[in-house]
Amino acid sequence: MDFIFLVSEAFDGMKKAIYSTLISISTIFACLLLGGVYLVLNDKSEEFIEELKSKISIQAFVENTFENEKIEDLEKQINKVEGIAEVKFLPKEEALKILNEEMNADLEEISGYNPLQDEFTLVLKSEFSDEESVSEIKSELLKIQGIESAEFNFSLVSKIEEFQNNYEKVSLYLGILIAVFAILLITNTIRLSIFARQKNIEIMKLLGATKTFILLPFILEGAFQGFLGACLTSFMIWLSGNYLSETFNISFVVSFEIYFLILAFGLLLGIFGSFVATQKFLKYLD
Amino acid sequence: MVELKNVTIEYEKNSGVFGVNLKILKGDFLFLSGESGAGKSTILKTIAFQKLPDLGTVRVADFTSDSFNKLDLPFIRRKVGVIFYDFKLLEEKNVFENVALGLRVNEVPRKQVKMKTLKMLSEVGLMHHAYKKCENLSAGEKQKVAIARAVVSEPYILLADEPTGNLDFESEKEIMRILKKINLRGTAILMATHKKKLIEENKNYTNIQISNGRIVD
Repeated sequence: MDFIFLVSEAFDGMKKAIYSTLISISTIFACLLLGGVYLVLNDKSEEFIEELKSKISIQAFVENTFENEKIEDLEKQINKVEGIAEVKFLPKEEALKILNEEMNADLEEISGYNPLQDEFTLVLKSEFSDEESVSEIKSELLKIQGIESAEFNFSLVSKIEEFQNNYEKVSLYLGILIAVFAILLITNTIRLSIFARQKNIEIMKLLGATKTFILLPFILEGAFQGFLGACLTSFMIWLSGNYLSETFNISFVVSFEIYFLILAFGLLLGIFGSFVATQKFLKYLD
Repeated sequence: MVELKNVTIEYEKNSGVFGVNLKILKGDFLFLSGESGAGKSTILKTIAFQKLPDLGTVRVADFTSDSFNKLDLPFIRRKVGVIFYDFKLLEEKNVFENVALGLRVNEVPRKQVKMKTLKMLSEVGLMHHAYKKCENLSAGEKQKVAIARAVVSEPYILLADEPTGNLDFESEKEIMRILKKINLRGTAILMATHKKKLIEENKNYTNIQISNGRIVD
């Protein structure tokens, strides 16, 4: 099969139905841009959520009567609790010093004694940052002799989880809606293109063209539209990334995988849309 | 060989073709004459497998209507070249592209397409118009393009449906000259026409007369 001819037929078709082709490419661009932004946000929000989770910590306070010589043993026991990534010890004297600096006062002088306790700050592994795991870690800590209490911010954990769950749901529905919208538009454009070239098709049929030969240019046309829309989207995302990086002085590098996904999805949308459009037309070719 | 055996196609009562028998061999040149609505176009459409008979059998080379498979249709049509009074050209494309299309749909390799198309254009005397858009050609020239496109892939038979219907006397003579030249190469030609004068001028060719859907002896 003369592939160059089929490609030139596809471009010819786009040229003939230039306005609907441009509308189609613009809509694919708009749809893929929405999808692309979703992918970028998803990628970046995962980074953000991971970062937030990495900051979830538990404060374990040591009984005031606990002997200082045994602190190292206590730290070893805490380290054995599953889910703890890092343990930092802060003596009460050090804690008071920090607090005094923050408050610009001498709390020991005011109250007549150091009101703070020795404490361990425990950084959790990200896979143990859900509410259930954190509660389990807390109860394990309280079983250790010398630990008086343990505190953590429940609401932060809950909020992160709630946000992640909602975001995934919304993203899924939005993604499906965008894809359906794009397919409908491509299908419509290819159908217009088929109608614009009905005479050509009739002549090709008379000359003995196979269905594949007649329909392939339309499939290619859809693929080109999808590809062009995807290229525009990728360019716009790259441009926006650069703008954000320069304006806010942050690193906003969109990964290669996202560009690849946009291009692949654009092509897939184009091919699928034109395939749907040609299926209804097949009967006419018999 | 093209053969119609007892072919009947009925559109309405007393309209269509009835019990038509016809055999066309390689190198034949036949006229198919009759008034409008006599059934000339139906016979041509039957040979091109655009219409299948209600009764009887059509055979084109190795394909018969009895064992017809839709998937064979493109390959049957490659054996049958067709030209019309209204040319059916891609007007916005140039002469070369129109003629080359006849080879491209037959999936002829690209290099051969150029060579064969230019040779064909030279045969019909259109080489100098090769890159001219068809919409800028005269009616006679358009019919030459249509003929070139129909026979460039060397079909077994060329069906011509009133090919000179839209042409002046000079163009008609030129088209007949080209058709005879193609026929001499071995391509069978079945030409439907209602022009009695044209048939009289070519008395050495067989004329099959059709009236009310039946061949008149």
